[in-house]
Amino acid sequence: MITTLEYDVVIVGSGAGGGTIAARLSPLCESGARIALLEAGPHYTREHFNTRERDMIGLFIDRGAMPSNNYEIAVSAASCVGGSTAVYTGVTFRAPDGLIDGWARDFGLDELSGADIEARFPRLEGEIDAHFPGDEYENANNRLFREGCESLGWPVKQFRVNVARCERCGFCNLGCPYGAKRGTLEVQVPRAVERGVELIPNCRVHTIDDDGVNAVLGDAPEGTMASRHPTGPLRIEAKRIVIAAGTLNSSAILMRSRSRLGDLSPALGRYLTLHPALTSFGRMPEPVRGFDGFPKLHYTDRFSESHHYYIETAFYFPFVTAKSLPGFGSDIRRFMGSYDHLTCALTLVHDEPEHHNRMTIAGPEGRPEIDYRLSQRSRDAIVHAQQSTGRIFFEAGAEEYVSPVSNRFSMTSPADLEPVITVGDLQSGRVVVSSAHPMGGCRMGSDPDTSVTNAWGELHGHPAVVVGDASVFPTSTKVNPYLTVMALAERCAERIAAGL
Amino acid sequence: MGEPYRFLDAGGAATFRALAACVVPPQGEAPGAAHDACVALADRSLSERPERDQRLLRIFLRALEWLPLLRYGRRFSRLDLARRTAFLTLLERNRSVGKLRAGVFGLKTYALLGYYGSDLSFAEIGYPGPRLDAPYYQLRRKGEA
Repeated sequence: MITTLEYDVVIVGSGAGGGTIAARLSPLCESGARIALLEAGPHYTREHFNTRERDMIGLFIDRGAMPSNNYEIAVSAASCVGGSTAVYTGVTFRAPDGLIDGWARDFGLDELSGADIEARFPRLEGEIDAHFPGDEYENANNRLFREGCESLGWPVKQFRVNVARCERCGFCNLGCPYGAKRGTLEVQVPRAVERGVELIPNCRVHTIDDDGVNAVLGDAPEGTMASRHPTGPLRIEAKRIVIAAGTLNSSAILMRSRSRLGDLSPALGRYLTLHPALTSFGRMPEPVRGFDGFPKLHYTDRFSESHHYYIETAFYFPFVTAKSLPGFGSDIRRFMGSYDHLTCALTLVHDEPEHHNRMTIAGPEGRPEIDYRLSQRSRDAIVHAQQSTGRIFFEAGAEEYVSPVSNRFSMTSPADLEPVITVGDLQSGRVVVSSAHPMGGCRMGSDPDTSVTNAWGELHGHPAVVVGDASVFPTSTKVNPYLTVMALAERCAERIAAGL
Repeated sequence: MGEPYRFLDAGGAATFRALAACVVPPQGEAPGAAHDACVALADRSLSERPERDQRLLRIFLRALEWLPLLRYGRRFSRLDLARRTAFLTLLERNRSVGKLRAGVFGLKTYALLGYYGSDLSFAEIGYPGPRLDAPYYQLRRKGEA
């Protein structure tokens, strides 16, 4: 039996986009508006985050990452209330200067302006406690990265991070056990619920049409909040439907809905960008204990313009560290034996939107799949970045450097970097590049043949359907995208509120 | 006797255990990734992968078991550690079949999860493990008190 519910607005997804829209619309509940916030994953709270790597990979879609069909890249995104803001490090970037105006100019988005988006950033940052942290946040891993860059004469910049009363325990990517990370799980979703938005976790949306969504409500995992509605198929009628299920799912929901929505743009799913990323490691003579303290503080944009990448500090737990190491056996065991002496950094590549890179669906249930090929520009960037990271670590005093892109396990001098790290060693399957910033698939634009949504995220030809997440980005942001997602989502909410 | 495996069948378990011993071999008294607890953890995580990935990994496990017959005249799980490692390296570095490289990467990843995701490895690598003062543990201690 199908349970039918009615709301004024239904929002699919509770991450940076959906959570922000829910919070912005929530004052309307006082005047009687009915708003539902659906989340495919469970409602885990800080009390569920046990800081144990093997358990917390369950917070992520596919219990880890979704590989592309060619196994070149694997994308991580969370499936829980808060979406990926529950598992990110809190790194908060404004969109780079000129990016939004470039989108407006290049994609005919006359109603979008950089000035409007930029004016929103300070308030949004205040709302989520984003700030430049003090010196006490710099642990040894961050310090060594900074010293290495400074010694090379490369610029070192600091991230804003959105934390409050942070214990600096370093477990950000496994869910903050202290609630210090101010993502939508801690800020916008509770605020929306308090004002009357109904949160429905464990609710997986399969298709939509102009009048509502078709979903299945599953059981809540033990100890998590269950919905008041019976489990099973749900039909949720609504005047406005917001799709903010994340780039891995928003396009897929619309593709599964083609027969209900009629012709959708041929650009649907396309122009996917991922910020391809790869970690590498230096072994230092002294203990580093990178797992202690705040993991991400500095980055260098030394090669952003010339080679299209950033290098960021990062530190990961034992399993994720080990899986980035090449080869087998005694080399891995020996190197991991020095885990508490390791430095770690992350390469983040600015990839370009390409027509053939896309989200698609497969199988009778229409599961999302990723068709993505690294461009030659991205491959060159990864190789150059892995060599540059080695230079930073050797400059900081590393005795050994390990990159997954190499023809031997490790290097012991800067002279090794160019001969050992080559484009030929970046083979799909052997080196699986990672991504945590999927964007695109429902890109904004004025032309329905080359874009999926307009400047307000409204689906071309279906103004009742709004896409409110990073899938509307026409290009990658080059930087961690969620503050830009929040700013665009806020605009969506204002438009929806005006039309209700 | 532990719980029965959820993903691995008997043949697949023998192949996986033989692979895991190459990924993290035992060292002195310290166990490696072929330890029962590590294989059990890897099996549980493999069983939670999407169906498509499970199907591909099962096919790859079978291929991995039988392909060495062509080179060494013996199945993978019956080769010595050195030959198993050499064979895995060959597959991992082959330049023509990406799916073989991906299969090695996939199973290696779960062998590493079994060992480095397990408390068994923490002392050896100098990792203190989870934060036992986190609310998750405090609440459970209260519940037990």
